Amino acid sequence: MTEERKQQIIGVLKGIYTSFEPTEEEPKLTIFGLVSRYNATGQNTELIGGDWVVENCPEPLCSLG
Amino acid sequence: MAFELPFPPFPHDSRDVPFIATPDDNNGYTVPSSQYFKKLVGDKYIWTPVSADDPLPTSDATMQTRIGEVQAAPTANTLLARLKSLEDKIDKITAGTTPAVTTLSGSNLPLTQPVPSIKAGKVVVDTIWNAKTIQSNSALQAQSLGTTNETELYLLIWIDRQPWTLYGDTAYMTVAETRTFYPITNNLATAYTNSYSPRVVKYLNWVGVTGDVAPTKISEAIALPMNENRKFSLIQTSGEVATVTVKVVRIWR
Repeated sequence: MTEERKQQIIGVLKGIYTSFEPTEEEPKLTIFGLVSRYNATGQNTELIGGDWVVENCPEPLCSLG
Repeated sequence: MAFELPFPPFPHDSRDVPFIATPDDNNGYTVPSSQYFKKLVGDKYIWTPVSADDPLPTSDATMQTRIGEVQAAPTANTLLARLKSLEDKIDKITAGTTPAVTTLSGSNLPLTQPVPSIKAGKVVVDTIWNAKTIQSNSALQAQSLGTTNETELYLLIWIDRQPWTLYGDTAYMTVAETRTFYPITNNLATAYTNSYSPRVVKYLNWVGVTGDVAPTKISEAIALPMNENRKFSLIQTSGEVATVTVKVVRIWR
């Protein structure tokens, strides 16, 4: 994966994080919720998962739990 | 209380101290006449001069008699003799020559009653898959559950697509048996995205391929034993990319 593509993915994930609105069923965003929303965009051609987020993303994404 | 020696037959020196008139082997009067003691003769105590044959009795001498001698065979019934006897017995017990006879306290348990033990309960939660992405209509590679000697093991599963199926391995089949988990999760048409409500299943170790010993309720499932080095996998057939998180709860009771 190129650095450019990595930054592109991180940018999308940051957008998901920023636009997250808590609900009763999902009071805070988890890595599962983050990757699930990213998969729903249809852009996850690399099939990244939670481990990739922890290793490559900055705070607060990498420590969503 | 002072006593007075009878004057005769004891002669007196210049200080008027009585002394023994009988000379010793050196023809001297080496034993002061004042060293007399009461010696029991028959049923009477008679004043007797100190001599080699009649040494002055002292407390030290009495104690020495009672303590005994430091030697291989002290006089019987002395303190040292009894200590040596104890040492000899301990040496024989230690060497196993004459093992000590002991009696244990307590009671016998009936054969049907388990031996009581202290239980060290523990619960550990591990994340096996952290928001893993699964392509449509495909399975994730078989994953070890890391089972060791847990009493029970549960899987907590969050998945955002459905239907999906959970497989485990058994003694007779590798990661292809849905009955390895209770309740069975076979082509389940439910997604689990609520943070507080994952799909919870109990790992059943291995069960009969015919299902004869498969549990019908959770109490029966809990009673089944665990085993080491078991694996599981998950397949989703939603037609879309899915996300799955799996945590294991290990319980030692």
